[in-house]
Formats: sequence, C-alpha cells, structure tokens
Amino acid sequence: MIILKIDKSLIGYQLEPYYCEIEKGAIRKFADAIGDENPIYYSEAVAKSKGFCSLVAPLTFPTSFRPEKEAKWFTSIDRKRMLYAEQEFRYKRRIVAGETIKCIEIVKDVYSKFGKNGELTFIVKDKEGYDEKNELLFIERQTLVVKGEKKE
Amino acid sequence: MNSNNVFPTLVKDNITKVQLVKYAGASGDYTPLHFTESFAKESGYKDVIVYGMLTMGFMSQYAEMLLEENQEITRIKARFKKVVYPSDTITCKAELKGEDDHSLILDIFAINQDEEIVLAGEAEIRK
Repeated sequence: MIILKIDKSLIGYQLEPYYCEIEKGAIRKFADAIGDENPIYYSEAVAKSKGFCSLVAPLTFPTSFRPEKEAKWFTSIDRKRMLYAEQEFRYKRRIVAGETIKCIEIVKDVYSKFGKNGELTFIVKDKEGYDEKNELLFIERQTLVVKGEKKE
Repeated sequence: MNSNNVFPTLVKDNITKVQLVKYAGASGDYTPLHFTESFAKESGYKDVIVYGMLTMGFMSQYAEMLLEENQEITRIKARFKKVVYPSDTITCKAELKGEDDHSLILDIFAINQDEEIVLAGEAEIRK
C-alpha cells in the first residue's frame, strides 16, 4: 500500500468527483442518530409546508457523503492519533431528499504546530457539493489533526 | 432576535454507546475510537469517545432551535476543544456576536458537566 507523506505536497490533492443520492431513510436515520426531532427531517408534509420539495437534510449531513474509495493519504493516517480539530459548513440552500449531489474533495492546506504533546499536523480538506444543475450547493471545510510524528 | 439577547439552552444528557453505534452507521464513520473500548484505551482515552461531528450535530440542532420565522443558517462552524465521553452532559449556549439588517452571527458553546468548553463555534443566520 502506498502511504502518502502528509506534508505540504498534499495541497491541491483532489479526488475524482463522486455522487451521493440523498435518501429519505438516510436523512431520518441521521437525524435520529443526532437525537434531533425537528419534523422537517422526518415528515414530508411538514417539509413541504415550509417550502421544501421533500425531507430536508440536517446541516451536518454532508459528513455522511463519502467516496467509495477514500484517498490513500486519508486511510493511511493512524486513527489512534487523529482527531477532528474544526468543521465548517457553508450553504447556498438546504439539501433535500431526492437530489443527487456531486462531491469534489480537495486538500487546501497542511501545516504543523508544536503542542504540549509534541508535533501536531493539521490537514484542511474541502468537500464541495454541486446539485444536478452543477450549482455549488455547499462547502464543507474540515480540519483534521494528527498527533506525533508526520506519517511517512 | 429577542431584545434581551438571552437565549434558551439545549441540554444533551443521555449520550449512550448505542447512540454512537447509530451515528457510526448513519455517518459512515467507522473509526473504532467511538465503539471499541480497547482501541480507545490504547489511544489514551478512558473510554470510547463521542464523535466531534455528533457534538456538532447537537450544536446544529441548537442553532436551528434559535431561528425565528424565515431565518436560515448560511454558515455553521465548530472548533473541537475537548474530548467528550458518553457519560458527559452537554449544554449548548449562545451569545449574539453581531447583527446587521441582513444577517446575524451567534457565538455558540457546548459545555460539559464540569463547565469546560468542549466545542466553540458560530452560526451565521440570514434574516
């Protein structure tokens, strides 16, 4: 297995676009897993009464959009040493059930800091979501932190 | 927003290990830190840990709870400050950071039972 070096050479690394079909059942399951009882996540009638075509996806739902094959640099990170540092979602409009979203993932930045436990490596990755008209719907910006030496 | 800028809070006090399994399936994140105790302990934690993104899910639920009629969240951001365990009680609180004619920004904090900030973030809301 090729292990990619986690350093600035990773910046700009982009995955092939992948597609996610937004399903009502997946939305309901996700909302239930969060413990959010907002009816726009469960009832089409309520969602429609608020002007949506179908069930609305919770704001953090894009975290469930994953490629069939994750990037090697990502799978190579020791999960015992990795945590989420930050996450941000920017939306043009809410995602609704029935859509198909095209996702493009790009590494935006890689940098190091020295914390009390040694070196910390931060990786900033964007996930851009486009609707069927190829309009940018959302951007998810994720910052991961890996403790210890850089993975070589 | 209400004129006193005092917002209600949201308490999440029953984060079960079953919920972590549900979240694993719903999110597609199968990192064993969240459901395999031995893996979590080998990683230096006292128990399995709650997904940062699950805590962000609580924060999003909370931000939406504070919306007034016709308001929409256009941006939501979270910084994960401290590890959360399933036994923790998380309280979400908000403060108004800024406001103009078109939008407002709320500072949102998620605090554990020891008053430690586990998540700090903000929500930008279009009026």
